Amino acid sequence: MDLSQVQAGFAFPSQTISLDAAEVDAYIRAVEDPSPAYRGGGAVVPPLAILALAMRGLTDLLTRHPGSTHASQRLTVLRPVPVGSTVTAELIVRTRSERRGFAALILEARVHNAAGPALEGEMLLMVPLGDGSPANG
Amino acid sequence: MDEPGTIPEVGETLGPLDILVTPERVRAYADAAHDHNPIHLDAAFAATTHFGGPIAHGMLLLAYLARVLGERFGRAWVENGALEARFRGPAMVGTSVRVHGTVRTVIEALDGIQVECAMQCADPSGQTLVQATARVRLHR
Repeated sequence: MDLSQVQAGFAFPSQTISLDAAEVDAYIRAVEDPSPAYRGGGAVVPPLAILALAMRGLTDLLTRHPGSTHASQRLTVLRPVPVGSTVTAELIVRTRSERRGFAALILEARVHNAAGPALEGEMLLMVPLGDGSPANG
Repeated sequence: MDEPGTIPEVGETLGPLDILVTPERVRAYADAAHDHNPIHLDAAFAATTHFGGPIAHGMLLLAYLARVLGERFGRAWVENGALEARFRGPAMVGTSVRVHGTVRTVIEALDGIQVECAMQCADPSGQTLVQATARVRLHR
């Protein structure tokens, strides 16, 4: 799949993500976040962990597009997601334009769990049209 | 740094958080986020790129920003926080970064106290790597 050629409206396959304690623990250890919100009774999942995992299919794809850059990122938490939840993530290409040899893609991420919408994100990716230099993700 | 739950004042500083971006930290993040792009992990590959070496994940830098926000605003950050970030430059693996911020506005609203912060992640020379605006709603 050529990411630089995806068009506005393109939807990546939705993902169901299990945010179990092991997955969350690996994340908070990696980012060394001491927040008690992520531990013990009533623990919730770090919002950026949810977003990172929601982008998993995209990051796999980006390794095949050297020269891509992640230019900006927005994130809005709509409700906390308890550790142990399962969420569904949808990733849609909102706009596509071309600038100086790159496809500028604005992608929208929407994540929900059984309680409803949990998180929204939006990112700007610059993907080279044709050969480019290495990926920055 | 004030305790989570206290009302911030305009001009209050957040952080700083200084972190050395080691290969081990980047590897741990790659495994946790399932993002194994070689630009972050493969020094030989990264040396052939215009960066000249491996760089940290942008999302790892955002996680450091979130850590500072979580330390100040506690559970409110994970319940209703919002972040708008622009990546201005790469954080080279092996260098340190400093994350800090400033409370820009504090507004009393019907549904709580809206706080907006200017956040930054910079390299040791002070060059901005990530510039961000964070918002959080505190309960009275």
